[in-house]
Amino acid sequence: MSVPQTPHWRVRKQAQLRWQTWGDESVVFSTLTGDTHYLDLLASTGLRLLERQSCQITELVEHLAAQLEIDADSQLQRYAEQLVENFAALGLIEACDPCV
Amino acid sequence: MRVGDLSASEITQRLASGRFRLRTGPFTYAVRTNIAPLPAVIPQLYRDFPLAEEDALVDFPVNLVQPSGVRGWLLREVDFLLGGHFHFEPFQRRLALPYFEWGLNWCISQHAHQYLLLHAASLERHGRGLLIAGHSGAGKSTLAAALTLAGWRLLSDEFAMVDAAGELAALARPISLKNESIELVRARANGNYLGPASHSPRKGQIAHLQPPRESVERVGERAQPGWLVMLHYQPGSKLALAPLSKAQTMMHVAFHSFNYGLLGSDGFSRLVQLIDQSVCLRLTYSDLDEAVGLFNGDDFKRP
Repeated sequence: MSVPQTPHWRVRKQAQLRWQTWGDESVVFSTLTGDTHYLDLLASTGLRLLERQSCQITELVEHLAAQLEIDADSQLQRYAEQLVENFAALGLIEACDPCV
Repeated sequence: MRVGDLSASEITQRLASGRFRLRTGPFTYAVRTNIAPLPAVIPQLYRDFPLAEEDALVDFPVNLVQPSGVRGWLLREVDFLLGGHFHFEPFQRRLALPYFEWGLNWCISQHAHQYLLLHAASLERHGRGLLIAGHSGAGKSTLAAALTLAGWRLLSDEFAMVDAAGELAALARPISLKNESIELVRARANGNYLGPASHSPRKGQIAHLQPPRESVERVGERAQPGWLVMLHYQPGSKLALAPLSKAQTMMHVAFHSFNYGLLGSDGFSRLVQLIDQSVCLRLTYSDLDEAVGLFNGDDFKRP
């Protein structure tokens, strides 16, 4: 599959995520991979967005900044890039067509 | 009928012929063996356990047998078979008792997937369950034995068994103790039988504590989860109890479960329910009496 240079990302289409949140911490189970993951507040906020809609990393940064009331600076940009990379490596998200 | 109702010779005969049908909680084992010291020790460790009828359905037919030829007579090996099949390497005859206990656990861990099986000792008081988790050597069994002898009801030493309703089921099987913990518990045993110690090259001295009669008689009673304690034995440390993150506790317990991954979404639901209902704590201790005092104090009266 060819991936656009600035891809959109979303939770993998075949996966359903099951969530449990205690305070600022969450655990999430993917029905596709069968794995359970621990997520802090930033990570869970990001994954919930990608569960609702596809988006680019820039949109993810804006969303995290707005939701958590933090600066959309270069540090958050690097964090979001790392987050997407980790989620993809764990089989939680996939690159997709922008219109999906 | 209970094991203790049979004479020694009847037990030996039943064990030799495979007619010894032992009920431990929800499971029935048909045990066949004539390997010493099992015919002498099983009646004491399992004295209060019920025997199933000879035509009852059996979950696990297990044989501990001496193989013929060199392996049996010269190397003094013993085979453990489940349903007539070999599943693992033979062991030395002098380790028959720990391997018997280990083998009964293995049957459950490999087959009883109607339960979520967690690597934790489990106990109950006033209807609420206490799970004691932690790394190997953290002192789970030692503390479970001491609490059992101090009024808590033993559910299980090796497993916490979570049923489909999220309740904790019981086995009440003997508690496996190692090395220094054997003498620590012997001093508190108060008439409960502590079996002979066997020396394992990997684990050192191993002995088994007979569960109190009340734990065996109430084995059918389930418990609601109440506390989940991650245990850390640290020589010389002061007793310290601290709250733990539920999410991180769940990840630890899931990782050390016997079958969490196998149960998929259902395992996730059961474990979330268990963690949600439990007060999650970390306990560091070095003195067993102090730890027992803590669990019998106000912190553990109700979750």
